[in-house]
Amino acid sequence: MDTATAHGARTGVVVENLHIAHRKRGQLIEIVRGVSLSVAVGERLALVGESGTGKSLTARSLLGLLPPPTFVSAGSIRIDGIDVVGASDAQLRRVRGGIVSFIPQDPMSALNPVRRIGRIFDEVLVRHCVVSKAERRDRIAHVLSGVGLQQVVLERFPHQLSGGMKQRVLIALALVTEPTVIVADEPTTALDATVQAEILDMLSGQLAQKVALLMITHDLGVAATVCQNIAIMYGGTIVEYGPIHSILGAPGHPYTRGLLAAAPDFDPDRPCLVPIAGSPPVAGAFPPGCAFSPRCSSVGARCQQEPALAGGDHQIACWFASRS
Amino acid sequence: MSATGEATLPPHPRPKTATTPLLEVAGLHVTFPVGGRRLQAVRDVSLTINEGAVFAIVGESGCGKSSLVRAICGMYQPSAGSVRFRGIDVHAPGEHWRQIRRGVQLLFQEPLPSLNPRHTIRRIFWEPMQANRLASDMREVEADMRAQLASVGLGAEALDRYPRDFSGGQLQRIALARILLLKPQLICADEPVSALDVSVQAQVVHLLERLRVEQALTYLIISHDLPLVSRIADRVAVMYLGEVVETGPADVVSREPQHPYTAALRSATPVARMDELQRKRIILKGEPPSPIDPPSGCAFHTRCPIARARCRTEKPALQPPPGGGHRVACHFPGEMGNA
Repeated sequence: MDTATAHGARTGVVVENLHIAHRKRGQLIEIVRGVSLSVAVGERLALVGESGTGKSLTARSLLGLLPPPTFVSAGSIRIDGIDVVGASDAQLRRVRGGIVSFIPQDPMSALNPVRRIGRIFDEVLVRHCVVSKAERRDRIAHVLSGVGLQQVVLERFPHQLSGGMKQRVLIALALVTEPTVIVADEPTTALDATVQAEILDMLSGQLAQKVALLMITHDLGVAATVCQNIAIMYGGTIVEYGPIHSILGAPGHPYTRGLLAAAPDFDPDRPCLVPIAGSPPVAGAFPPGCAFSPRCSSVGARCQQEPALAGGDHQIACWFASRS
Repeated sequence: MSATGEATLPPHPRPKTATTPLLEVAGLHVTFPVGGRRLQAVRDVSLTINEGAVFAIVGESGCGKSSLVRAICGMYQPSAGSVRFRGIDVHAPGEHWRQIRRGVQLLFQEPLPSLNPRHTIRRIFWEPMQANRLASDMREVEADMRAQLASVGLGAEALDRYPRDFSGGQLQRIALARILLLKPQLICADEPVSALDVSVQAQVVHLLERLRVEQALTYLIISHDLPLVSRIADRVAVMYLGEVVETGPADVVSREPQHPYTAALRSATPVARMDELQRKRIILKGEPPSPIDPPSGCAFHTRCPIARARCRTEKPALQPPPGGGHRVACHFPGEMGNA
């Protein structure tokens, strides 16, 4: 029954020293530069960063879905022991949707508009070798009740559902093949605040406990609501990585501190909306050394060289991490 | 071209002196015909925005906030009620519309689609100036263009470039400069920073605040972001299904919401702080009802966690609660606040 068992134990995802690049006029331009992370089954990790940091490319590489001409130029991705980087097309077809599911940002454009919801579910299950009609019906009923939807939605077309219902359908679709890993790319950005709260509640609750969840977001608040661990990306690398309470309680990297100070909150006694000067670097034109150094307020001579991610549970890539 | 940081001006608190009304909206209804029925996008909204103020409208998609702003700008004809800008009825026929169109400017959420990709910044600046007959020749206003670019923190070399040459934050500055060249009194900004990166959002917020003081502007800001609004606005109106359900000082409304919908909205907003994460969240069930067929009584009763029999039949008025405070349209104000 479980598609994953055919390939070995459900261990989750391990990414080591991942580099993603594209070639421009014969030159190799690196967009993701040495990302390492791991998410075990039952864990939830948020990859947080601004536009152009390479967080979405990192996520897409887990499904072997990098948009050409970008490609994995170095490093490895292993999911349940399968090497995704070197996988054949046939292997990737089993991985996508079977072992790794994807929840997209925009639920409006992710469902085939001329198919009823029930048929979309059937297509996914048949593709992943669940051929008995009774078993399909059981599985669909199970995931639908998990996301709080009624059976009648199976009769509906996507345009008959609201944005929040569509996103719940997509979460159910991601769960129905019983994958090991779910990659959610900004799953609530297109939704209203009260609907977002409902979806975040779902992702952080019972529902996603049997998977490894990798969530991509630009919003530290969303990350903190859903995940136990956070990786902050800047300029194609992870600059801070650790448990949520540790990062919120004692942010170590100047960029993380800047992000927290820039976001508004309700506490009138706390300074907020403190801008970080300049703008995020453009992929392919990352500053030399520490990518954050041109915007950093406490920059020193050592920042000419790129600092490595160091530390125990809570890792920071900054030469002055211990001082700050 | 790096964007300048605006590190000097604290956005809050701010002296609030002006009390002259710039914009008065009274009993405004906006209705659209939909297949023989009527969609009530805005229902009986009244509000006053004083000169120099920052007024925010908060609500989710479909609550009527965009229809309200379009009616204020004169783009939609109201089915009832009136909008007065500096005492002049915006919707009355006459030649004054050109003056109102120039005085009330719109700043959009996404700067890129609002700027013609094939035009240089100079031409993007010139077109609205020409349309408003501010000058007969582009050369007359060259100095104004340079000065306005400088005021948003960009150099004069930007004039010969194209929108594609700039980052999102820089484009929002350019969109702002284009508006400011028309010397408006009121800027209606629809989610002015939500498309920008977090680290850049604060820069634009500070810029808006500095320009408000320097160029004597008044802002009407539409946003879904309650924490942001609590920091940058003087007053806020929370809308649900076409109606204002709560209105008052922005920091008070967002910190101590009296209406259950505002309380839910506040609770739903994810804030990256440990004490906020430990709060119990209010999760609203169901979807907002259709504005074609709004519920009886209080429009929020179908999703309200504290709704009672009275809420289904009797419509609550927007008024201060018995104990005093800001206006709220709820029979049981404050019961769900500060959850």
